[in-house]
Amino acid sequence: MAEQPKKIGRFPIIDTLGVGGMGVVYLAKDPDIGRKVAIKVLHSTGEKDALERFKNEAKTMGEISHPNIVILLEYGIEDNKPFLVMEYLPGLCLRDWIKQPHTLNEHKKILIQLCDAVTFAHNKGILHRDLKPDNLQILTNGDAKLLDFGIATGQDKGLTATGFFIGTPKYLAPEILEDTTHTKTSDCYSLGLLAYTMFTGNNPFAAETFEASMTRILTKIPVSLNKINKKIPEELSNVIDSYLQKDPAKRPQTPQNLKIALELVTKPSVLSNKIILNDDLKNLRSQEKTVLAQGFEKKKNNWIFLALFTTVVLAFGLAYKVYLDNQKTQELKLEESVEKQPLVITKKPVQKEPDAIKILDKKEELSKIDKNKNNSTNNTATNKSEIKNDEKIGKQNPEDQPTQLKPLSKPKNKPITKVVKKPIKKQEVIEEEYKPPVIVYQKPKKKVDNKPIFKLPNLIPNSKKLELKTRSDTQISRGTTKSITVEIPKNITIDNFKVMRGLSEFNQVEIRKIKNLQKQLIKITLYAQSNAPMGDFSLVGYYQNKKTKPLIMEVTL
Amino acid sequence: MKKIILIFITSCIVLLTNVSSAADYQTKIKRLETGFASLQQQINDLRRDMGSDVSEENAQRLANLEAFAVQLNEVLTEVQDKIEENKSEVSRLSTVQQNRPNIGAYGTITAGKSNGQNSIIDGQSFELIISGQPHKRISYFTELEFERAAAVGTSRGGEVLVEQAYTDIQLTSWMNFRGGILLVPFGNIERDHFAPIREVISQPLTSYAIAPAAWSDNGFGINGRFNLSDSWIADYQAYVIAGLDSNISTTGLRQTRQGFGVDNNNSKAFAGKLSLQNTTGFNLGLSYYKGAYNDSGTKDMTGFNIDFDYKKNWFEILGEFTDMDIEQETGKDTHLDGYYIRNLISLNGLLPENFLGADFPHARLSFVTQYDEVTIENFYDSTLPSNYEKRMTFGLRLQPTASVMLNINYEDASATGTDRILRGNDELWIFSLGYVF
Repeated sequence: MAEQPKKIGRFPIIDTLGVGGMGVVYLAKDPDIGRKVAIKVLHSTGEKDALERFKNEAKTMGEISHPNIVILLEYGIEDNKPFLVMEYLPGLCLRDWIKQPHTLNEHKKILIQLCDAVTFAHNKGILHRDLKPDNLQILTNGDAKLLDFGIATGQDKGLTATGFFIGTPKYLAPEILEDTTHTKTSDCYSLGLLAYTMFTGNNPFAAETFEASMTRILTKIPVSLNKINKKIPEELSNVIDSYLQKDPAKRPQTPQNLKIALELVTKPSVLSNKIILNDDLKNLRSQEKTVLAQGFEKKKNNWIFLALFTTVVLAFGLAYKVYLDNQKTQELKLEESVEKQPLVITKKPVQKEPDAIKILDKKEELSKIDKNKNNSTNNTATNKSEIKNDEKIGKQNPEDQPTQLKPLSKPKNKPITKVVKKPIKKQEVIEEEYKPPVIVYQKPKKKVDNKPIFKLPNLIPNSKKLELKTRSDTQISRGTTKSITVEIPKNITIDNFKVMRGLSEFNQVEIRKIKNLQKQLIKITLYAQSNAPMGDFSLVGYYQNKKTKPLIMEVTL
Repeated sequence: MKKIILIFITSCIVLLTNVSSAADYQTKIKRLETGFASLQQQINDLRRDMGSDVSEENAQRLANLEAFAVQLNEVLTEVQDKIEENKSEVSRLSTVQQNRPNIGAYGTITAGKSNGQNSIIDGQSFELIISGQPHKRISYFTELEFERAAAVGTSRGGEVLVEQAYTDIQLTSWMNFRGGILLVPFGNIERDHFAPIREVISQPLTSYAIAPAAWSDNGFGINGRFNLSDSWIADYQAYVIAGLDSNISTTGLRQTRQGFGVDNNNSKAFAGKLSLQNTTGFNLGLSYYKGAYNDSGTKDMTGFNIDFDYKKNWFEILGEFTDMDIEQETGKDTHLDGYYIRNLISLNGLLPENFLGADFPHARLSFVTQYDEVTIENFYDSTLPSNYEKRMTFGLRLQPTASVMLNINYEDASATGTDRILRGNDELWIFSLGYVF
């Protein structure tokens, strides 16, 4: 950590308040009026983005005047390091504040003030973009002040032209991780998450690593607040949950819903409740749902459907078991020749039965049932479960059996997906009255593997960049023009050349002329300005949205 | 159902692997993100469409697909993070590298033998160049000369001199402000100031006796360039400098360069040059100098120079003409003028591709000739004849690489007048090794 300076600008430094990602915050004293101030100084001015954000913060904060947003007093530059002078706010940051138990009323007050501050900024067209416990200071009188508009910007502007997000990942909305467009609803998400964190003491998406945290944000649905802490009114819990929707369109678009829900909590007994923080993370996380399973959500919630589905599956399972047993028995007993009879297997596109349903001919089925009966009585099998199953089937059959049968005739407009002819053994009871076939669940033959069945493709293989070659030396004197002949790889057409120095375009060496000599030879005329810095630069060719390897050149005397 | 899943999976993999063909990693990442979002969406759609009408096997396959998607997401996140980390590190290193001063050096060592004199081996000069660009719009350039400087002030002493030390501040794309110790833009200084770059070993007589090629002065001004067309560039320099003083000799103006930080009069001089460069290889420069030289600042020295350079394939011709007019109290001006024409014929075809077991792909060999002459009127006594010297130079110049130059020159000089300007009547064989690093 850098040594604490004695003075920044005209402000003598008293103490260091904290070190953040962007800068150091010092406690200082205004020499004119004696009041304490907080001074934020950038770590380094080397990085453009950080400097840009710092300036942005100054401009943004200068535009905002709200009782719950920190006031910017001055802005200056000291030793090439810009600094912001802000009002000093003694108290605790929210991160520390939530470590202690507080009443619901105290939570309510802070959150309402936070809602007001965010609404005010949004109305000014400013997004905070980094709402998190560290950026909310709780004063000794219990009021809240929102800090650090360091990455705040107008909605359409973005410092993340590179396509990467800025902010604290744990509190970022999922859409920021997928697409860097930050909107008011993204701030609303962070606000909801702050509220959730305040009431539970934990960020539900916190994880040990950055990646894990991001994965949780994208895939996990936190357990409802009310389930964790019964003292939180259900209505408030539901509103906070609604702010955590992954889909921004489903989320409240302003902080007002939260504010109203908080204001509706007026019961004194409830308000005086101290929010007990839940440290049982493991248990909480076991109750989480994943986004990928959301497709099933609604249906799973329909318990009637689930119960029916389970019953049908169980019934089919049992019937299948009976069918298997019957087959074994028949094989042992029957000696007659095999006669082929058609069987129809149908599969309906959307029905509440599993795939691979076999509908057997009634004649066969009835004979099976008879055999099964005989087997169940004669069989003194050692396997108790088998006996039990047979007994269950026996209870339902034969009178109940028709209710499980389906007509053999093809249903209208429902395609038959597969027709299989299977040999069956001749039965004696074929004169029985025709009845619909029974549906039997057939176990899939394929072995189920729990491991992912795919291998990850090589996402970004090492791409072979094409190389430019030159037939002349690659030095160019300042203030002179030089032509170099560049040999380009076969079968490509260079669309454009650029002169680069490091990662930036290098304007002091200009491409004056490009001339195609032969198929693979290009003559490039370069001009080095008389004030071009000496040293290496590179010539890069662009083709089909790709770049060639840089051809290193040198500006010399 | 299996078919749908298989087609879907195949398309996803194709999408993801095809991503690698994009050159820009940001595009790749963006595509991966889009691909992942699509994958996620399609899995959800698939889940929804399938409802509960799903076999155990397909349910398992779908679960596998979801697990795969989560895996993909983790990889994607990791890659994003790594790229972000690398990007900032590369950016930092690039900035550090760009801001770092660039140190270079150049120098020559010569060995010569003239008529009637002992042969001399002369480690003539070693010059240190420190330059840099700490900001996109600010650059600096410093040239420190150690001329025969083994120990200053002793018999082995030579000269340590800051020949150039200036800072450029780019004001617009066509104008820079320059201040400091400047090389006065008069004549073909780009070619003749830096000894190793000059194709002949000795300085041309014009830049030795009239407008010294190593003429630097304190001053400030502007420089820049205009694009006149796709083929033509106008490069200009215009500075206010302290100027030359009255220490004029009968052999030239070499001693009129003033010390740094002093000026013999209150009047400042102007020096400027306009160069026109054509991409076909033709350059034309026009230089102008005007400044009071006497202590009272009443008499001016006015100079004009025209230089040119034309290069076509294996042939190059360049030269300059210089005229300096010095006002006299008597009303009759003193004239100094001279010119040189230098010619280079490329003999690259004679060079072997490999020499001493090493390749020198960019080696160059040139046959050089130069004719130069200078006439200097006697500043103090106009009745005396002017000093005149002419010289013919023949030479070979070999550059194994662009940084190293080996020259061998034969000079045949003849002179008239009262004083010898440089060689007088003499013949000289001279060899030099030059380097620019």
